[in-house]
Amino acid sequence: METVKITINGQEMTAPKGELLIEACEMNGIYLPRFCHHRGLTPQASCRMCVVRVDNPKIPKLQTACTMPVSDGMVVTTDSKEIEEVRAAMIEFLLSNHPVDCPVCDRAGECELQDQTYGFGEDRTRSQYADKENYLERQISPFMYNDPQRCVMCKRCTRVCEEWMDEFAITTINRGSATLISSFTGWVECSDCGNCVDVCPTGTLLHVPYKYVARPWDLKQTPTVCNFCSDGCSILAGTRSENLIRAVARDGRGRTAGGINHDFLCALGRYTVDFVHSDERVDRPMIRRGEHLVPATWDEALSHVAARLGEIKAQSGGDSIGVISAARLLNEDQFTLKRFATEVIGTKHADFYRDDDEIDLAAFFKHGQPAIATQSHIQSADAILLVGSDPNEENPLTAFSIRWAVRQKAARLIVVNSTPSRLERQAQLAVRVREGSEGALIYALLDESKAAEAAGAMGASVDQIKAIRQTLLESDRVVVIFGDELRGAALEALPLLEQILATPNADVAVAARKAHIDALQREVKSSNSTQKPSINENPYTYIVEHPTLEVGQDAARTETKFSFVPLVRYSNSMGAWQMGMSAAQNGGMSAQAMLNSSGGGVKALIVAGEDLIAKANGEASIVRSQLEKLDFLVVQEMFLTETAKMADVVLPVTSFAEAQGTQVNNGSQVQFVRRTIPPVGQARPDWMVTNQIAKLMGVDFGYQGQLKNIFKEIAEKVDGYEGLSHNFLANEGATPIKRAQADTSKIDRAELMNRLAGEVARVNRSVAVDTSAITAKAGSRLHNRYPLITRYSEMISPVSPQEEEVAAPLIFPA
Amino acid sequence: MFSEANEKKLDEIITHYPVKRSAVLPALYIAQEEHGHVTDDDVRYIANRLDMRVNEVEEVVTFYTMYSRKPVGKYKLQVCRTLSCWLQGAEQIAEQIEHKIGCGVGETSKDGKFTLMEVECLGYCDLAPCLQVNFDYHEKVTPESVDKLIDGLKTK
Repeated sequence: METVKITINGQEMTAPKGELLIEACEMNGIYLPRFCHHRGLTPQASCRMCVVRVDNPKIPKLQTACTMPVSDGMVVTTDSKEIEEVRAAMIEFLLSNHPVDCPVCDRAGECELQDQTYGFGEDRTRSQYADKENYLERQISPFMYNDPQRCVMCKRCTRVCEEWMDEFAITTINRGSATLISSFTGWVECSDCGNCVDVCPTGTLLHVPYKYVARPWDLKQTPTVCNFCSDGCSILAGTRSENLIRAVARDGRGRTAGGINHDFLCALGRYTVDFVHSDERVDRPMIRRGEHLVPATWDEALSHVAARLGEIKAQSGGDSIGVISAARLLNEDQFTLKRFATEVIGTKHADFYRDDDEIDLAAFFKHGQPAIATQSHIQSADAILLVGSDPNEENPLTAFSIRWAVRQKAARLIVVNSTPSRLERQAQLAVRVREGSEGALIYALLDESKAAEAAGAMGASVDQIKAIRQTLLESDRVVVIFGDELRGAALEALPLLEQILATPNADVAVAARKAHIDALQREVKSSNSTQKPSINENPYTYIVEHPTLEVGQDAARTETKFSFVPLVRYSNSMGAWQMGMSAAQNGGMSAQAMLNSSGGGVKALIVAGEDLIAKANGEASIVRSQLEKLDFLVVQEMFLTETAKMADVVLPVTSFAEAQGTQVNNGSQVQFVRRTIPPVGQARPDWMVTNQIAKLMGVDFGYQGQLKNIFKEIAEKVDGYEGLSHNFLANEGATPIKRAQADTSKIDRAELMNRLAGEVARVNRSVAVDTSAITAKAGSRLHNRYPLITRYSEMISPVSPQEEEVAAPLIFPA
Repeated sequence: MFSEANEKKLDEIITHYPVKRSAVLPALYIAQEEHGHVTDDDVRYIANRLDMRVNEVEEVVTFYTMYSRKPVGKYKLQVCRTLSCWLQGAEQIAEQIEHKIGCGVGETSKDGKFTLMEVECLGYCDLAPCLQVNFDYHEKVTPESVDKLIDGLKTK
């Protein structure tokens, strides 16, 4: 990176060219106070705390360091009597309408206003007047409280809502000292990501579930990894006396868990973590005695399981026992289960449960692992092709990265989808296609002459396909993000894109990018009054190519032009695959096939963490009757699910907060999950349970009860894990797992294209293309997922105005 | 949403600007003219017409003091309270009006005819104290002249 020399307070220092002065100072160990500045947001310069004196080039007035890019030879003073006075005056001004109610404020202790008043303010005020603006604190959304008196109008929250989330849910109302953060209706309708609360430097916006629950200095904050979707965001888990109380992306002091998500988190990861303390957790092993499940000791339960499995194995052979794991179980659990299946039971029927909308990883990885893009690859891509899925609702961090790339890096986004998605608003080209025809796009991209055929199947125009092809062809770094809509041959054919759509030469890519940026700038400047800007409905789109606006500092790029993000459904679907816990790798039956042949070939099932009945959608009764046919069913679960209720033995296991281990996200990055609380009740980690059953059945895996020994073995045996250890991952954070690259030369192209043609021909053309507008409320699908769905209704329990006045503060059981 | 004439006016105003959303201020005036104040429906309608978000329109309406989001009287009596007028007895003027129309500052009289407001400098310092009634200025007002003025407005 190009650097410049600057002089700060008489000392020569270097900084990246074009960096903002406030960041350059920080890199050199000089902290400037600030409220409105946030690295991930566009400059605002409203708080005036970061003022500095710039002597070269000579500027007569004090300047805000948060809007001033550094230039070579710049001479800056950040510390003088003059600046001290201005800062103190600013603090006094900001506090003039502030109630100074720190003793009852949840933010106290991690409040930037508090810290900076101590650091830079005076201990007195001249503005003691009676008619302060007295807005009362009130709840403005299911998860958000607003206390306008504490606000310093930094507008971080509204910028987060616009720039990160594209939701525009909150805004500033009124003017002057009467300004407050609110919305048109006063009630905020959004996806409840809570990022606005996290970035708030004061106690203005507060998390409802965390209200009056703990003091920040009482919290022990442990960085760990969320397990609700495959993005794998890091969270700072706050615990007090062994209770998990909150999860934040960034605490009030600006500390993050240091993960791939930086300061970003979604509603699911943030507001649902305390499900781990639910009263409904299974806290002890249970054995079926007749009709009922009766509590038992671990010894009883485990020896019962070992004995019964042993019997069934002896009677009907190993292959009569199936092992099904949930895709959210950690690598160590999956690996142990896999070993258990092969070495102890001797069955080939071991599979992680895939629901209908899970990507078929076996097809995608058929010819080796293509280049997988991480979040920083997405954020610095030139072009992004999104096929299927809706990251906004399924993988919020990926959606954030896509918006980031479009907004800050002028990436060209192409959305090909059969249902409405809010990301279409950012797209340069959004094509709605017939349901089930997404694979036809790959067909047309691989063979130009098939464009008409594919367009017919998709219900799109040939021009649209040509435009997509052209964009991909002339871009330098392309990330293809896809959901389960790509199936079969289309998935297998993805690695071929690299061969067929390689950029002709570097100049083409540079010229195309320049033309795109020019066009964008023209469009923003002169968008015609009668015409909507075609590029983007969002009027704020503007192009900034600025190093400070890059979240990942590495100029991220993969070795190949094309890289892929399979939006798998669960937190460790990728890990389960890598651990070999998949029917396709084991040559056995899939989880569904095992269910279908239960009572026949399959006599016993071990189900680790999956509720087969709940996942069966409309076929719950069929699954139930299949499970009834089993001779023996072991369920390792946190809750007494419908499946667990049918079990012969229920073994209580730990949640993600109590377990330790590793998990792999959709960017093929392995991350270390830390234990944040001790096990609830008698719960044990899944790997330990499996290990103990194995021991009772006469096989010792040689783990000596140590988790790190499992990972040692994974590092030895699993492709891509060489040289990794828990210690390394705990320090290093997300580490990409590189596996053997897909060898495209070995792919039989003709055969693949034939199969693809068949798939395209099979598309049901009588289905109409869904052209409806984007009407769904942001987060509507996110809110429908357990445990947020229950949490949501808890939060918005209606309170009448009279009750509200006397209502006790919302306190949630820790 | 608006009357036919006002719709035409809005269509025409939109063409004055390079970007559609720039027409938000005149559009809000049209709404206020037609409905007396800017209603919730007005905000939604204008947002829709100008490709804005309701929150953005709300931001604008509440920022500017000459738009009202609540019903106001037929006559907005705006007393200047800035220095020159204040020195010349603006306070007494306000008191006199309060007495006369029977409601305080920021309120609307029972008959729905008058709304009394205190505003910042109207730029009539040389002719202080100044009273603005809707868009008309009345300079060098006295409690007596205010009385007469309001009596006249009451009968209108």
